[in-house]
Amino acid sequence: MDDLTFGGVMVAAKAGDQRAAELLFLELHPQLVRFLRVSEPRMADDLAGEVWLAVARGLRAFDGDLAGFRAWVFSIARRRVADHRRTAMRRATDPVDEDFFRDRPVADDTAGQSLAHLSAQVALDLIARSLPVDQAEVLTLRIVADLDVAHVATVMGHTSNWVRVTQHRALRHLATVLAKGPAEEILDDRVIPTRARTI
Amino acid sequence: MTEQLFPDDIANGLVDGTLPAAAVPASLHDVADVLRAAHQAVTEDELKGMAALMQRFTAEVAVESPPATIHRSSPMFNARIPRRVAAMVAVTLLAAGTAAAASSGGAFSSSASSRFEDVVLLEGSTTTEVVEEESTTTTTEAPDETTTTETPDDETATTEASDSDEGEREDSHLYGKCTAFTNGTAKNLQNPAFSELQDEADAAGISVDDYCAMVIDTHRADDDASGDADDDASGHADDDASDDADDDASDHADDDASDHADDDASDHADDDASDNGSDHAGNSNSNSNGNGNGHGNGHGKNG
Repeated sequence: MDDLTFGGVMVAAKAGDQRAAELLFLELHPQLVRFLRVSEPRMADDLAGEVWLAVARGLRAFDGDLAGFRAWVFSIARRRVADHRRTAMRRATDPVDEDFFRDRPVADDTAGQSLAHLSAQVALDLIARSLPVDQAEVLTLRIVADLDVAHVATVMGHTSNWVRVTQHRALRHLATVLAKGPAEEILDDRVIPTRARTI
Repeated sequence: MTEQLFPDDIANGLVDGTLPAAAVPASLHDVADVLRAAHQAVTEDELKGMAALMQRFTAEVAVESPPATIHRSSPMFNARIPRRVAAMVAVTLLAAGTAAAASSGGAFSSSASSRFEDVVLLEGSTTTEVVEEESTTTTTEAPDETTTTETPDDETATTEASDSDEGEREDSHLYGKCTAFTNGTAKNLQNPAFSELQDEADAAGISVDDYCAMVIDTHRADDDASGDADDDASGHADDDASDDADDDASDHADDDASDHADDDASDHADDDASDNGSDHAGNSNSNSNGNGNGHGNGHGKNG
């Protein structure tokens, strides 16, 4: 969807056109779900529902192009993730459920895997687990949400220069991590939930 | 010690997945593989439950969107048209009935005329001549005893003072409003429905509470004094007044006060003509009383 098409679709969606709303949804939902799965694997679908509900309620007030819309949606998603984490932190116990381990391949499965044949989800898990939170988030928003540096800065509430520098550091950090050992050793460690080490 | 950064185009190309493999620095080959893998399209498994979410989203968008080109007043206007039509039909039927009765020498011309007058008056589009002409046909009845403080130079007021039906209607109208005012929890005299009471009380030089007490006492005294023949009419009027007051109060409680201020006269006129015109044909006082009372009560609660 280009900006010209997006303008018409947005106008129609604001007027309540369900087909236009579907187009907006289909444009962003796959990326949104992937972002949420990286951030909160167990709550991704619930959080996606909350995000789209917030989008629907704020759609009439939105004014901008496709990149702006994308940034707005991911800003909402980021806030929802932060809210969820705050809530989870307040709970006394938050054990990792068995489904998390069941859905993941065991260590033997990774022996033959090379970095070139990783699935997207595993690659993103690797990024999220290997890097500090800010660096992982910058890369995730740049890769998954397809946002440029300026929009990532808007979403994260930092300057463009901060995003640029953080992105460089993330790449160098990731290179260092990957250089330490075979990929499978890194991937063996992925049963540790992302959430356990974030924020 | 300064931090060594990659060139921006290489860093952005890596992250965007657009950097050709040949251009990737040797130290970043593994990173490029990971980032390229991360750019892969979303799989079906990742999109489980998408249909339900999309349906919910589109439904919410449809609900949240504003009603296109529909203004607040349009539905009221549309609703009013059938009432006007019904009012015109009622007027026509009553006029035809009056004419038929007159031609057959019927004895109820007075009440029928006043009925016609009621409807026409409430319609809000009558001329003074019509009122005066009708009032001359009904001056044989006793003038109203209840308090009317309208000035004599007001032609309509003079006509009403000499018209028993009009006087009784005015009495019950004020009685209804006073009842609503007295019983209401929020006695907001700024409310347009009660402004008439304020005017009347000011003219009499007393407070609205005292004025209403006087009106209510007078009305009850009239009821007590009237005979069996009158019980029907007055009782019906009172019932209507209180019943309609309750109904209208609950109906109007949710509506905008400003809308009522704009549309009160025509709405109630239409309501009366269409709703009560045929139902209460035998009770000359009932038309405006209930609505006056109910309207006042409703606004009182709003205020």
